[in-house]
Amino acid sequence: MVFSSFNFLFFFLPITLAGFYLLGRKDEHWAASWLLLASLAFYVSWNLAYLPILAVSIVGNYLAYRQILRAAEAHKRAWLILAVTGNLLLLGYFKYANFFIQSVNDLTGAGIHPLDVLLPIGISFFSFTQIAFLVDARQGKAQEVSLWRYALFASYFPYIVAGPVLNHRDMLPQFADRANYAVTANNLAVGLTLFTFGLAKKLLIADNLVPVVDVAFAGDNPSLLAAWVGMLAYSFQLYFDFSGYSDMAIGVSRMLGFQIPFNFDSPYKAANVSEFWTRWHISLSRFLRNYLYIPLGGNRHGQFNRYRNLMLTMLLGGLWHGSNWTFVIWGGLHGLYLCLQHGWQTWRGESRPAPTRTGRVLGQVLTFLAVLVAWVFFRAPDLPAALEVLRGLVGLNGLAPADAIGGWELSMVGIGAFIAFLMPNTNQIFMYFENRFPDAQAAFSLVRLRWRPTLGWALVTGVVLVIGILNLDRTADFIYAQF
Amino acid sequence: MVSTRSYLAYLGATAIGLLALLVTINYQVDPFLIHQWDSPLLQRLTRAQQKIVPWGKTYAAYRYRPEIVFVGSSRTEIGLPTDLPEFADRRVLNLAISGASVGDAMNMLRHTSYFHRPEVVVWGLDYGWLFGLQAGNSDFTPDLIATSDLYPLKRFLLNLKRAASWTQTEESGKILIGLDDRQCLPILASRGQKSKECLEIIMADEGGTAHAFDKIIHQGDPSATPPQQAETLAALDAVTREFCGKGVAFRFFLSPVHALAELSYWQDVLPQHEQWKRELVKLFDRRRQEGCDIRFMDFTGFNRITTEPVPQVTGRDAMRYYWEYSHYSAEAGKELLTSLLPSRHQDGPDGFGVDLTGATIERHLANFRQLRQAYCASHPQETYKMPACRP
Repeated sequence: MVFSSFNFLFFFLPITLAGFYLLGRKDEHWAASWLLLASLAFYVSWNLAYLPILAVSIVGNYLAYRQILRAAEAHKRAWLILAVTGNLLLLGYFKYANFFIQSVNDLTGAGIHPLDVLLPIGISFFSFTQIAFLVDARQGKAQEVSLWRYALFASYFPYIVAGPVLNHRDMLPQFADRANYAVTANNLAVGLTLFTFGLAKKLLIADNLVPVVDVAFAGDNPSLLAAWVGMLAYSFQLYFDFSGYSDMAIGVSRMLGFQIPFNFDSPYKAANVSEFWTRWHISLSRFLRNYLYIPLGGNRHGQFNRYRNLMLTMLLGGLWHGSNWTFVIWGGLHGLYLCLQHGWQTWRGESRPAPTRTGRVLGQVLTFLAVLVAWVFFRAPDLPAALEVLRGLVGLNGLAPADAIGGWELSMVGIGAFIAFLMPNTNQIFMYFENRFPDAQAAFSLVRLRWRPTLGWALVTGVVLVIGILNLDRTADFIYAQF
Repeated sequence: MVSTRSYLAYLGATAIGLLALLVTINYQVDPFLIHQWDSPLLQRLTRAQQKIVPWGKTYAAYRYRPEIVFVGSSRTEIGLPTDLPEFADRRVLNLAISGASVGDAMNMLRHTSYFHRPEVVVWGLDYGWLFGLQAGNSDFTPDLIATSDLYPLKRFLLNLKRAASWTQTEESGKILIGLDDRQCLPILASRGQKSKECLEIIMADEGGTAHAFDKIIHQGDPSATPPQQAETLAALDAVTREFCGKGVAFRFFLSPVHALAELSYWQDVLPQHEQWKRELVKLFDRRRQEGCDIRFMDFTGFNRITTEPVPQVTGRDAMRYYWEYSHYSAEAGKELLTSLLPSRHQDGPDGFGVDLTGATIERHLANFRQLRQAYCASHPQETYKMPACRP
């Protein structure tokens, strides 16, 4: 069951909200249990066979957490290593075992038979969320939590399929606060509007770009125009698909009274790759920085180690997205970009002046192009397909326009570009209402686009919601749900 | 600014009001005719290529409760007429759907039987991927199949859900303001058979009959891949046993594709294709021995219908028995039904339709091979690209 489905919108969400509201008025423990039950029901709606895997992961991690708390200082580290290894083994078996076997077969011709493995949806998200919790527990930064609350945190349905990667420091205090178990008009209004924005991003923009993207990846040596239009379309499809999902997740959670941090902040407005990663999939970037890059040494032990750590972090970040060498190359490219950027900045020195407006625009263009080239590997099913599109991007497959690209396709790409480059993001649109969205990086001057509970916003949101609902029957899968 | 409670009230009222309005309009206009039977809307002209036909046909089966049903793929849907004189006073419905696999046909049979067990099931079989259990028509979703007495309610809700779609809203709008591209009567107006008028429009859009034959004569058509037939045969065995036990008569047949398609489709799989026929004969013989009224006729091959001279020879674009090499006309379908429907085991007139049993199959296959060579020899210009005709 995805957010953009009839079953979710007309059955699951209203029932969950109603039960949560009614039980929350009596006792927050009942409401929390109801939410846990709803989360497990949501998860098994994909496949009942996933439930034992999630249950083992939650109970195993909770037991490890208790051991870490109880153990003598000398043994805490051993328990942490054991637990993190367990998580990585679970992730490795379900997600990477066949990738490993395939790679060995390709290299040695061993002919090892692939495993018949079912990839549980969201395993990357719930594994990372729990690893972060254990690491912080080891450092004494995690608060006491009961198994039920922990299970709710780890299986919380708004995030479990495609993130954002939750941090216990954001969520557990909210789950522990009795005041959050009351459904309020404020939360419903903000949550429903955010959800509607996300639905529109997904169904009206991202899904309409799919046929344009397919032109570039049809395996037909795309021409210069087809490759560029296709890759621009994919850049916007991925952004609107994933940020739309994140907005829906944040909106649903907000309706229930819990705030999930924003996950996107107009990433294509970034003026360098480092800034891009503070705006794109923010929750994953934060995880990789805090639990991989910094533990590896970060930038503390000289330039070489800094670049090595950057490369390792991005290569593993790439592999996290999927068991395919194309994702490793994608991560490697971003690692290379970051190394080049830091090398350039080091070479220019610390005392460089702030970039001019023109300089920033040039930086934005260059960053977007670098990100776009890397997306080729992210989208392509294999390396030859990626190289085919790269050849198209530099005109080696000819210049002829593709028949499949017409006015509608170009308009959709144009709309995507206009919103991604020039419009404020949902974070900025909502920050003025309560000033409770601390991740918003910049204000914007289009006063009319700042959300407030007005009649105009209600009418527009109502109409957009209906248009979204009318398009539910032709929704495509969320791209990030496969990771 | 208003309070967030008022905001929610305005938002909810806008969304619910607008959605209810659009769903009501779409449900009433029913642009794709998904819930019509005995309705004047079935006389409303529609596009030649109708969309989501399985919705309309499953609804019609539920309402009409046919006594004689046709199931199979587009060949059966296009070719088998429901208006033969023999069918006077009988409720006959062509429930074949484009791209339907054997699995789809079984589901359609189960669906229609839920409301009224048919007396006769006429079932068109095709070799290749259609002889499988996986869904062949993506619009024929499992929720359209009746499995409980709550089907009318479930179906009403499904129709409402379907009405809440952008596609239906667009189409309803076009119909209401007269901008739609209305061309011919819908499929259900002729009890499930695609009308001649619609087919003429489709063929004109596709370039005509001669153009279609040009393709197969000069380029050929890829050979079929052998089906995963063991599981399909097992399922067919089970379904015929079940329905025969309930007194249902079966009339299975192999669709009379044109001889040139016959040569092209099975060029790489001739032995497997023959073996497939033998397996089917064995299965149906078992049923017959158990007392079932079941027949199996092969209308393919090189008979007076399937060897009809092509437009490249006659100089005329239209053919009497074919729309193109893979789809036969209602005229051929009429002759097919006349031979197939009676209970007595008898070949069709002039070699069109061979009644297959364990006693006749080997002779038929040998004859088939001879006729194929003879056709190749006598039609060198049409068959020069066919590997099956090379010595």
